[in-house]
Amino acid sequence: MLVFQTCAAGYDGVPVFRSVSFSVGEGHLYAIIGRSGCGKTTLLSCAAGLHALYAGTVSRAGEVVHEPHPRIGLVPQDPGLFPWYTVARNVGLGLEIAGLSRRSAGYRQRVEQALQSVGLLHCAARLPSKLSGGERQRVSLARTLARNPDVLLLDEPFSALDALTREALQDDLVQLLSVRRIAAVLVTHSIEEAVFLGSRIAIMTGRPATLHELDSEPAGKPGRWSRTDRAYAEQCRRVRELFAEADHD
Amino acid sequence: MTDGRTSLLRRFRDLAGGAVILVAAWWLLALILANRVLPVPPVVFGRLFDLLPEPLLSHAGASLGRVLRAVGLATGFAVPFGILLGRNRLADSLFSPAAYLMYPVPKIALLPVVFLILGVGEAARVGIVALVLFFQMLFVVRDAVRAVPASYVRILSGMGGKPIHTVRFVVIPAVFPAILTGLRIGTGTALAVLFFAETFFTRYGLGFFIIDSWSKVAYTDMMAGIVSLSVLGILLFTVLDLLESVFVRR
Ligand SMILES: Nc1ncnc2c1ncn2[C@@H]1O[C@H](COP(=O)(O)OP(=O)(O)OP(=O)(O)O)[C@@H](O)[C@H]1O
Ligand SMILES: [Mg+2]
Repeated sequence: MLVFQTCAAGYDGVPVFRSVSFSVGEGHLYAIIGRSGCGKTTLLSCAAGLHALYAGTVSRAGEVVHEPHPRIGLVPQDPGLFPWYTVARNVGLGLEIAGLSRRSAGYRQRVEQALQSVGLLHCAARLPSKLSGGERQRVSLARTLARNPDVLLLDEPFSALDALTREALQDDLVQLLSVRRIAAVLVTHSIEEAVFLGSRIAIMTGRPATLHELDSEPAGKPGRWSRTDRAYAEQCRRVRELFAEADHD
Repeated sequence: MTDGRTSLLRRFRDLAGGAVILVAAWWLLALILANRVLPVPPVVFGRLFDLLPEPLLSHAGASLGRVLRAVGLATGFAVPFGILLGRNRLADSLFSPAAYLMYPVPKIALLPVVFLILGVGEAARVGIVALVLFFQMLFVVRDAVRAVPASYVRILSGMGGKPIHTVRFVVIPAVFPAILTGLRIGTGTALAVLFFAETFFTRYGLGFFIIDSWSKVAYTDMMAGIVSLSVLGILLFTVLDLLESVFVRR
């Protein structure tokens, strides 16, 4: 469970966003759509304990987040894999920092499992430079998953992927959230993605930005839509209209 | 791994090919000049084997020892200092301009000063070579540290990493190839400086041996010394190359 309470943050005293309040429970995903530069990455940095708030609090499981927490995982916008380590070592980096030995069975098992869950176990021994852009993003996701987070912060993690791979990964993510009981915040540019994955959808707009939640209906679980459904297409259209309205002012 | 091995083989093949061409050119030149100052390769190589193991090995050993100590000394200073300049803007703006001005200054010209300060012993000969290597490495290390994206540090922090983890997982892996590059760029100049420094106040080292043979009109010995110094340079270069191909993965 992740809770934002009247949060504000920015750079050099100038707020980028203000009065941001929302919460997301386990198995749910909070989708945030917004234009480039509106402050989405900054918002996730605050939740990851990497950026100080001007006002308000972010809390996980009832505890205020001041610094990075082992169960809060951020998948950054730029995969940022270390070019000098193999894929496997990159994925295990969080475990190494946590003090696990690279020779321990636990380490190996968790790295393998994380790679498996993004379908890249066969790339374990490769260097990141030998991967495609999309594969790198998946490794970045695996690196975060290996730490077994219960809060997942996703900063446009699927932006460099082709439509088919993206959909496959979205399906995997739906599985992960419910199996591992993860609470997730997803930042995206794609309305379709926000609708498909989001329990709730919010638009981030204005300067400083505020959040506007689009649906007042009770939050549905991710994965309740089928991509070929009429209803899904209809929902995407509705959200697009609401987005145009909200983004206008 | 197969990649590494084939490229190693290729490297040795290139090295051997290059050596053959060089010796052939030398031979040709010797035949054209027909002067006893430049003996033909078989004569020199024959003499080389006469001079081995002694006295040539002692001279080569002395030179190699000096180079290795200079490498250690220069690395020991250039790496921490380069990291400091790369990560601390104040230190960089304070020291980099001065260091930058020193970069093109021929350090060998400072040899008399170094002899006066450190005395005419080993310390000065090692010191002057270390000085050359230090400046070669300093900027390569600084730039390597600077080129590390800030996002890497953020990623580690996000996973609960502390500054020690940044050093271990980011700074050292980023700097290591830079050290090798700096050393490789510096090898040629370092040996030139060593050669010159070995012609003063010592009876050991290939520099001494070459100049001594020259003054004794022992041109074949002189050429054998020159070949030995060249081999030493190629050896150092190859070792750096090997280290790079084994440890630096891209
Ligand atoms: N380190 C920084 N110092 C000062 N301003 C910054 C810094 N990082 C970001 N900003 C500014 O804060 C605002 C929000 O940036 P942020 O990265 O959160 O946007 P974003 O919504 O993630 O954009 P995008 O969709 O392009 O990733 C931008 O106007 C940006 O210029
Ligand atoms: Mg962003």
